[in-house]
Amino acid sequence: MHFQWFYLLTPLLRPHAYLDPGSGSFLIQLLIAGLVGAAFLVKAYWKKIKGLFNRSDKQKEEDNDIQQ
Amino acid sequence: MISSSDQRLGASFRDPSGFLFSREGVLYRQINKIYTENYDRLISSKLYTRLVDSALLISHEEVSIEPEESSLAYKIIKPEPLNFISYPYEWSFSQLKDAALTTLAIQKLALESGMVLKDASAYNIQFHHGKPVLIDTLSFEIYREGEPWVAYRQFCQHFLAPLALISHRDVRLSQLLRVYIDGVPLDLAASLLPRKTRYGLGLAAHIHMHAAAQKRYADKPVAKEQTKRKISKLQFMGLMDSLETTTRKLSWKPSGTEWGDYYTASSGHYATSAFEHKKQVVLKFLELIHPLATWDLGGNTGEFSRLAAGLGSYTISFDIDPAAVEQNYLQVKKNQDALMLPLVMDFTNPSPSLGWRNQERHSLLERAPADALLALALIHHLAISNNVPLPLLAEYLQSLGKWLVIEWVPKEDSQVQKLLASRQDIFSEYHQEGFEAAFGIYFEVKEKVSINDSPRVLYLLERK
Repeated sequence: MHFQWFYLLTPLLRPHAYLDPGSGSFLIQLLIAGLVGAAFLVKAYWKKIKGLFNRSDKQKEEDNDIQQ
Repeated sequence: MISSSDQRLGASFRDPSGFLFSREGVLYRQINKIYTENYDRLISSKLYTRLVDSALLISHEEVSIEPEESSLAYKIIKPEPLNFISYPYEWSFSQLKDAALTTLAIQKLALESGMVLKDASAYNIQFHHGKPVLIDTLSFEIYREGEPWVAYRQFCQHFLAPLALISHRDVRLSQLLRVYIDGVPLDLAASLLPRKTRYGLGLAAHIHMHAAAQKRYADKPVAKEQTKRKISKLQFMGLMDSLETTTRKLSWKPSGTEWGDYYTASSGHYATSAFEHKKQVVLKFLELIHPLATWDLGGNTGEFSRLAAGLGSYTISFDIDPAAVEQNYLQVKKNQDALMLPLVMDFTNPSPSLGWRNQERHSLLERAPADALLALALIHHLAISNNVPLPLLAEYLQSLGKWLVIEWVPKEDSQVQKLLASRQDIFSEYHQEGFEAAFGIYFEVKEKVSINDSPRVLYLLERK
């Protein structure tokens, strides 16, 4: 049974991988990556949006400095 | 011509990409043909330069010497030498955490260059110039979208599980790394962690669900459709981000010690004048010998170690107390001290040789000797608390270093009285004459100074 599993897993892994990813570790990784992938996208966009606001805030401050 | 002094290193056998060997005392790494494409990408993508410039990867130069195994060889590289090899079970919490975050930072940069880490072993990280750095140049491979992270399990076992156990349970559980050479088994970590860690997306997923999945699929076939599922690059990056967030959230503060006042608390038995005099004498001794490498065997938070480092000596500050080592490391980080390495070490049971053929991880003795040893306020802990006869102690210290700065702590000292308070005094040989006779077998006395306002005496000894 173990052989069968390994045979199935090999197409996804390169021939020289020396670490055994572990069948359970492999499957749970698929699941977790699926869950956190979407969250990561939202987080990345949120950072970008926040970045825009921060930059405009900074610019305002700089403008104020110049005016003073 | 390969000489008889050539030696393939005992820890370097798992990965077919290459191996370490030493020739005439110089360390080299053979890169095998099998790894050609990956090594070339590491260099051509400028990932190597980026990592070395950011002090995340050890630098190397390509050399043209006879390979150790010609039939396999692509190239030979000579990595920048390290002062000392330390192991995760000798690190404090923040050292292990920084090693984990360094691994993930490297992974992030690698992904930007279309590469990925093919392993995440804590043993691939070493402290170099005060900072964690990857020492395995062959840890990278070309990233192929869709592929899962082959080292996910290793990262969780080597870093996340011990960090979580320290943070949520007990700092002493870091010593599980000494027992389990490939990191803490996740089912063990899951069973030791408190119930609250089962909720949320961090430890709940990477330790608890992970351990459950390992158990479930340990001897079961998996449906074919499931193996065809792939991980998009975005999901892959999400996974790395989740590991980073989970790692960053883990923290540890020792209980029972006044954080910040630690040194003051532990040196409370010293009058200020005695303490200052002791510092002056130790500094004077160190100036006489100017050691290249110093081991402070009971370094506490590193106050005396810093005297040696201040003189340009590469100094390892060992202590049995993980709280003291933690504070010392945080100080090293703050000061960006390149010459100090704080490590956890119990000298009544120092790190042994471990792993395959007992050659993968070296014992402390195999990593000796240092030029100079500091054994300050230490002798009574070994001779009285651990019953080590003084001649055996002298013999052991002689094997660790050439010079020895040792503080004699007599029986009438309040600290020794404390140790004797609850036990029979069976130490008839524990007196200054006995000390001088025992150490006289292995060392020559170069200097001897009584500490002001204290019954203690400092000796500078040289190995015979």
